[in-house]
Amino acid sequence: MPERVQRPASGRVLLARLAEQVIAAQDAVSTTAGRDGRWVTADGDRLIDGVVVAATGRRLDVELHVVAEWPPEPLQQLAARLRGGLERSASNSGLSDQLGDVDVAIHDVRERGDTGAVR
Amino acid sequence: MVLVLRALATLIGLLLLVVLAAAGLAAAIFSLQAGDGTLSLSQLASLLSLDDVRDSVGGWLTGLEAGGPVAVVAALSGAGAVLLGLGLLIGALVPRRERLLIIERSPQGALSAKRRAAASALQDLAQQPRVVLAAKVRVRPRRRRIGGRARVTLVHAQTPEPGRVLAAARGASEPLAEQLSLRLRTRRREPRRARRVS
Repeated sequence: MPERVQRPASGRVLLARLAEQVIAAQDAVSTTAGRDGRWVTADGDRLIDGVVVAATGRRLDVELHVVAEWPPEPLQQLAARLRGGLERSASNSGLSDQLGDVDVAIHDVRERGDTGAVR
Repeated sequence: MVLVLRALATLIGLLLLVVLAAAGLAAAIFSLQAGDGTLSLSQLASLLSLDDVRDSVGGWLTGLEAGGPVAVVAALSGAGAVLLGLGLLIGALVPRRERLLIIERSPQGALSAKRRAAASALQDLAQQPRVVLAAKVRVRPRRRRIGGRARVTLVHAQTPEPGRVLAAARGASEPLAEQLSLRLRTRRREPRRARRVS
């Protein structure tokens, strides 16, 4: 059986993975791919939900599509927390020079434990 | 039901566009030759068994085929029809993108929210006062700019102090509206069959 070739991940995919980990480590927020599953980044065989990374010039802009938990903390604070976490992770991974804007889009505000589909 | 009707309307619209495009293509191809040539409008009329129509508009078609003001008007109309067709195709095929409420823009990036998420959060807060039976919230984001407007319509039980209901609901939802950069407008409506709250 031929051995599967593992290609090195691009900066885009590495940043998307970091963003996924940052959101997963935060309280009161989770990722969403959106109603029609549009907001994803392909990482080999799997999709990273709620993270879109796009190159603008030499930098990689990141969009985080999230669902916040009710009652929501101040949204500006939530966005700052996510951005700060991603900047730290990118810095630790040597990707800070590639990280561009980090946009945060709130898709829904839900009670804790509500896992229904995003409308 | 609405989804089925919407799908049907999209399908019919698409079919009409295809028919229109085919008709336009046929007219364009049969305009290549003048007179009674194989690719002339006269021949197209014969193929479609429209001889009577050809006789009545024959003079106009002759003017169309020749150079002059009629041909210029026809060329401009044709170009306009092509642009309109392309526009309709784009409108039918390109997916609609929901307008987001932009809450904040900073050098680090933008913070935005879906209208429905903002409306639903405001609705939960506006319904907190006991006398409020229901609240309907409509959020209108500005185009490309920060913030927007939110209109909260409260349905409340009969009460001697309706002003206090408005104030209470407004007080509950105002902090979040400010966070979302929304200008809040509150109004009230009594239910048709007013219920008294004990």
